[in-house]
Amino acid sequence: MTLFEKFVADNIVDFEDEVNDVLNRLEVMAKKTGARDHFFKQHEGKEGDPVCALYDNPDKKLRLYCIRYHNRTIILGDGGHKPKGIRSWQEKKDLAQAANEMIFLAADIDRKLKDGEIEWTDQNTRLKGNTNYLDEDDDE
Amino acid sequence: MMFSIRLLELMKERGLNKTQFAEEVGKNNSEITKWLSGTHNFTMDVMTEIAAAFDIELHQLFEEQQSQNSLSIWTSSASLQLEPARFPSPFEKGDGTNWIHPLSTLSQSKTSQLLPN
Repeated sequence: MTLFEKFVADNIVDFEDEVNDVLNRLEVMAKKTGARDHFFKQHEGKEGDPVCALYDNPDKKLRLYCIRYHNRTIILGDGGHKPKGIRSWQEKKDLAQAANEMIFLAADIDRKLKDGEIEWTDQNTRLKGNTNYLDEDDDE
Repeated sequence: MMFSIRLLELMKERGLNKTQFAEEVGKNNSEITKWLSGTHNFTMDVMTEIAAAFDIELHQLFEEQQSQNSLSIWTSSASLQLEPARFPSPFEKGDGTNWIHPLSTLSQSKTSQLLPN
């Protein structure tokens, strides 16, 4: 199961409208608009990294953390319910985990791009090279 | 979502940033951010105000935009021991392929390192 599928599975029962809204918006981005920066809440990760959150309806309750590389490529992560009393993801464990996963992934991708382990291809829509994230001790 | 794109396009055409446009329409910056987020439901009254601010006819707010090139969406797999998804993936195409590409695996130990203290 991917992180995004986990996000859908975890939230579809309690937040069906919001999940469907997210799916519909992603579909519109995929088919028509691209991943415009103003569709995302920027600067959700460390300073200068591309981690962001997909905006949901301001009255609604979910946060989905992503990594956005220009209008043409995004990486979807996990997310969760953000209650009204919570101002930032640091205040809620599941949101913190989801955001930190994206921060870790973005940093790793950045390092590997700089080291030449991976490179952009297909007009900057695919990463080619070592995209595995295994511990050094893990058996492949 | 398309309306928010049109709105941003009009702002750029007139060299207006969020703050300047907010002043034009008598709103604050956070309201304009909401308008541009693609989630806001605009009323006719608000759209009429926006058209007036840009000195255009209402119908000119709805001019068709050119589509972007296709978007590539990826998602990382978590190697946690999870139940199988209760719902089919919404990204399965009819031909058995998936338009969300799996990026690969975050190992469980890496994931556990990410948990806040």
